[in-house]
Amino acid sequence: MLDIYRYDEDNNAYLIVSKNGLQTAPIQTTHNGTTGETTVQQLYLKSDSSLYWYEDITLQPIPESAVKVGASAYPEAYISFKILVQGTMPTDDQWKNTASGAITDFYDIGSLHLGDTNLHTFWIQINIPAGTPPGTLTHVSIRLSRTENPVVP
Amino acid sequence: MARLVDSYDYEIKVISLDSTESLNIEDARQIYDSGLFRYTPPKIILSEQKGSTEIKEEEELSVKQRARNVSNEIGNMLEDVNVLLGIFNKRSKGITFQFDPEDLKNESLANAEDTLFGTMTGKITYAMYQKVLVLEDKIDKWLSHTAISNNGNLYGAR
Repeated sequence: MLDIYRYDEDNNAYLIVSKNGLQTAPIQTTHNGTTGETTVQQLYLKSDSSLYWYEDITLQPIPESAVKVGASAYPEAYISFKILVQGTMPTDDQWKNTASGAITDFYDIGSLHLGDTNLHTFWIQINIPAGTPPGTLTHVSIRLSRTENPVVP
Repeated sequence: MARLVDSYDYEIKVISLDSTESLNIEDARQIYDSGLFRYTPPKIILSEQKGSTEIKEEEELSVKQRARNVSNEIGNMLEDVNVLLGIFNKRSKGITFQFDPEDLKNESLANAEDTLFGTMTGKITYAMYQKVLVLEDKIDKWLSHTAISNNGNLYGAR
């Protein structure tokens, strides 16, 4: 199975992110809601089996539309959630050119005759606007779509 | 071949970090009781008893050092003042005071211009004004010198 992994600094290990609302091991970021804060995090795609390869992989931040916080209606009052696929940390310009909630294509992992169990990097950026009331938001997630194919020896 | 779709969980924690928030007494007490912060007053070190001559020398050195420090500070301040005066002088070059030398009410002023500069144009430039200031300073010094030479009597010994 191809899953999203995060790096656990405390245990120096890569852990599978829990899925479909289980919330047992979610991706976690903390933001200062008073001033607003943007964080960038590196995540990974990894297959746990060399018997399968994956194509038509897409990643999408959920919810698709920006999430409004508080009672304000101006554009800055919305949480933005972006994904970029590349090996190195994206630049500010790259983030600016990426739309919040956009579906991002990922390259194939493995091929018809070869499985791939390596870690493959992608990045997420979350912006919490100034004036966001304190609390825990759990209605955000990353939707991973992929076509799983058996490796042909 | 199977199409798979999953949503991976994300938890965003939003906290409020307001630096202007003040602590109430109860918060402060809890922080103090937690033992995170403790004030330890510095220990008083009793030095060896010194002789009175030694103490006097140290005091004199200290006074000299303090005088030197004050002198340095005054020097720095004067440097700044001179810079400001330089700027002021540059800007003031164009200032000219004009009066009508024929008008009787300006008689003394016209006479002063004549005595000091040998002209009666009714125009006092900033440069002329500065010369007058220098001259006034010289006159003051001369008068003081004369008074000291004559035991405080400006007009000569009686």
